[in-house]
Amino acid sequence: MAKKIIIILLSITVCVLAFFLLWERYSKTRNEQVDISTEITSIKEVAEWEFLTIEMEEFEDTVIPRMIVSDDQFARIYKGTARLGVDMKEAASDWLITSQDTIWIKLPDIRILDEDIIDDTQTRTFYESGKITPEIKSVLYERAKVDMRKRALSPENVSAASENAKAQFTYMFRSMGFKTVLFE
Amino acid sequence: MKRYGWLAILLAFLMTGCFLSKSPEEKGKEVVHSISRSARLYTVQYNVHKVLTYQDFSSLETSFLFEKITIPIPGERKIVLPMDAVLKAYIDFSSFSDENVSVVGDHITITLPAPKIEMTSAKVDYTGEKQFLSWNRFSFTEEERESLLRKGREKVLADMKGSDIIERSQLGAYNALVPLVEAAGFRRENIVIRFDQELLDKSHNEQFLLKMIERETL
Repeated sequence: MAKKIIIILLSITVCVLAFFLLWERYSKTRNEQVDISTEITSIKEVAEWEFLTIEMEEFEDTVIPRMIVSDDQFARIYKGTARLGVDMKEAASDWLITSQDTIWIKLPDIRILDEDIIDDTQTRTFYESGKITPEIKSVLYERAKVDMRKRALSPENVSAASENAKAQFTYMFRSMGFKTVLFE
Repeated sequence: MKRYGWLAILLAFLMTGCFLSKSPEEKGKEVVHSISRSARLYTVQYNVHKVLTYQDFSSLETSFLFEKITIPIPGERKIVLPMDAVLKAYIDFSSFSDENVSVVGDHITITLPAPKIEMTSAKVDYTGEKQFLSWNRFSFTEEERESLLRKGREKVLADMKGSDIIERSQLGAYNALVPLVEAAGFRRENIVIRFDQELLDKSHNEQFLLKMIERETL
């Protein structure tokens, strides 16, 4: 009798498992997207000049050890763009001094214009095994951001942005009639 | 005794797994795709919040006597994924030349190219994510989330067609450039900053704005 019950229970389990496996194989899904309009949370007038654009990808991964089962592993590829330039709101009141056909320019320091540089909508998960919590995703995002900013602000990039800034302002003021454009 | 022997082997196997398990390992590898010189004046910044939602229903499809039969399966799954994005409008000065500046006596006219819109960053609020699953449905995979986010990006850019970002961008460009030209010795009343006539004509045309946004997202 007990044997019969075990066989019946096993058969039911196999049927349920087969149903779930076949379901994913043969089922079709119908999508319905409920659209909620985009909310503008703030509008800010800015005056930022961008002189160097650095597009980069950052690979971040993490391993969380487990005692009995295999470790949880998670790897993501982040995409971001660092825009190096100057924020004219940081310029001194006397950043432009003119005398006849000569102009002296004192530009603010080159910096990354945006606080966040990652476009998370372009993030790709490279590997995923185990339970990945939202906190882990947030940690990886922040780590990728720090690494990207550090790489973007290399002396070579800052120097290239600064040189380009000087070239662009020189060109612009020459087209306004200044013969000599000097930088401080 | 034999039974205990198997148990010992099983335990030893599991213990091996424990000892071989790695300590938390974290590493990053960065690839710089491109570095390019640019000359852009960002004039206005929009911070936006978007709640992405998605739901689907499942059904079994089969055929019987050449007739297609669809059997709906009860149960649904839903996901809510909030995200924040920053959009900026800018004037591209990379093609700026002498032709854009006209100085006649003490009057100056600067003609600027059409403003463009760019999503400079986006951040998904994973802690704010919510899933609603029926007992018989599987949870969302990372691949499905990523697909939803890419669609959300397009939606955010498309939603900007209803905003006044172009007008604000023009005003921002005026406010940023006039002090600069003034400092160069021109009087405010003698400064004219104008935009490409094509833009002025079409700035309220939805198709044109969408085309401009699409070009940016490619």
